[in-house]
Amino acid sequence: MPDVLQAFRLLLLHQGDAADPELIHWLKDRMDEILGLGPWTMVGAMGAIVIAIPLAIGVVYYCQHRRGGTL
Amino acid sequence: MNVNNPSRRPLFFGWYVVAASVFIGFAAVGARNGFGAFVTPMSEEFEWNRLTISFAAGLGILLNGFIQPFMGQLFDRTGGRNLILLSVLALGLVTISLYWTFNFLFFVFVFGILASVAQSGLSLTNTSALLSRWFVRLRGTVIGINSTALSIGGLVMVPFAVYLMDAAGWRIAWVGLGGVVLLSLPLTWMFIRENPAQMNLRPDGDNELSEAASARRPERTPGPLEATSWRESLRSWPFWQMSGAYFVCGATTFILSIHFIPYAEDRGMERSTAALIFAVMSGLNIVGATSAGFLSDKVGGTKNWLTLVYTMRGLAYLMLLISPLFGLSTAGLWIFACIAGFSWIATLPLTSSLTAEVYGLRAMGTISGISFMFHQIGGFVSVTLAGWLYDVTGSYTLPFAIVGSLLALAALSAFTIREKKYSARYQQPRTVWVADA
Repeated sequence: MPDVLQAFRLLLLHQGDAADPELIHWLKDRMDEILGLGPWTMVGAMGAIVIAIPLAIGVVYYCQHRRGGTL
Repeated sequence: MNVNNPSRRPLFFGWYVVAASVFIGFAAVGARNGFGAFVTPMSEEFEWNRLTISFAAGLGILLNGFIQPFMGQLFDRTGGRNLILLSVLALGLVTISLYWTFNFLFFVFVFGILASVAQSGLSLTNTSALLSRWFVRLRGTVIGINSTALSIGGLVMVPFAVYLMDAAGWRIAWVGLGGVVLLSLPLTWMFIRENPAQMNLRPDGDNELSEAASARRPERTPGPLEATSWRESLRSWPFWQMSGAYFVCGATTFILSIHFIPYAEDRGMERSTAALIFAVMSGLNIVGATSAGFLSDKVGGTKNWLTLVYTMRGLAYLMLLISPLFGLSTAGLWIFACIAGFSWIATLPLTSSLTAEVYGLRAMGTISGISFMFHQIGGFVSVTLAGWLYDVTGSYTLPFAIVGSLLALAALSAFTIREKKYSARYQQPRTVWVADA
């Protein structure tokens, strides 16, 4: 295997635990063991968290804006 | 509204900029770091081998490093808002377009090149430069908070991608990740403003004009190296001291990210324990980054904190290498993880805030981008070196010892920065009428 390609492969893994496919699946198995929820339920729960973040920021801004007039 | 009563004041707009910036980083990192989850299903469907598919990611990481100075320059010239807006839109659409992957070259082009370029516009160096305009006294703190997007994005978005893939397949998972990136578009539109003056505010929320008009306050004097162009920074020592240390930072974190788990396994540890140690280390970096920024703001002496961070990491490496000699193999790895975890991304808020203090804000995107390029080169060199030395010696001891010893130089390099001479923070303040300034 050419060294440059090997370096690229290794660089990919700089993404650390997140990028290592074996590790990702190991982590997923542990989460499944602990939570025991189906994939769609997990997607729904995580999706809700992700959507809630910008919504919460927007709501705080809106409330402050209404209360304070200007920011 | 009574703006003089702090309890009645609305939240300073700069905090919305921070929140938006963290969410952008969170979504963007997820779109990139989720890649590992796609390796197996895409390899199976297209019969690509791991190396082939990894080529796209490796290319992306390198490109990301080399393009950063140019994106930084674009950021400095345009002010940043439009660049960030365009980059969010581009990264979201490009990630979604991976749904239509049909060929390796398509994947390399879209993920390896287009997505990397788009992500460069949203890099932490650019958002740190943006936040530096909004905060002066709390600069390190907010850049530290912003840096945690890296870790939080990995913690949330990667499992999200994995479960979405399980539920609906890898093509829909790309759409989901792209969708999350596009979700940050309204936040970007609303809250990413180039500087407080655009909102008739001053950094740190100090200024309501009515208050300022009657206040006599000291104004910071620019440091002697304040740069109007990035070229000027290249002719000064602090830039090379910070970039040299950043090179070592890249070398010591990349090598660890990649080789830590195999190394721990070589020392007889189970993969699951090694993964847990690594996860603890990754989690601690959230604490490390925020506290490093906070402490440098509150206590001062940014270069001393930077020195401490490099020294801590050096001690962690030393512990890693010598612990087996004392029969502390597992304990040594845990201690290493705890010490190294704190220092993992703590260099970023410290280096960025020091760059802003020494060189000012006009060329900060470009200067930080060039420093970041050194960081990426350091990572590339160390990873390649470690792989090669492992093949030759059958052990990670030598490469870890080499990069670990470089940390002494990085600490020395940081310590010898003449912060008090060059940083705007330590210049004699001019007392002016703010209304006249």
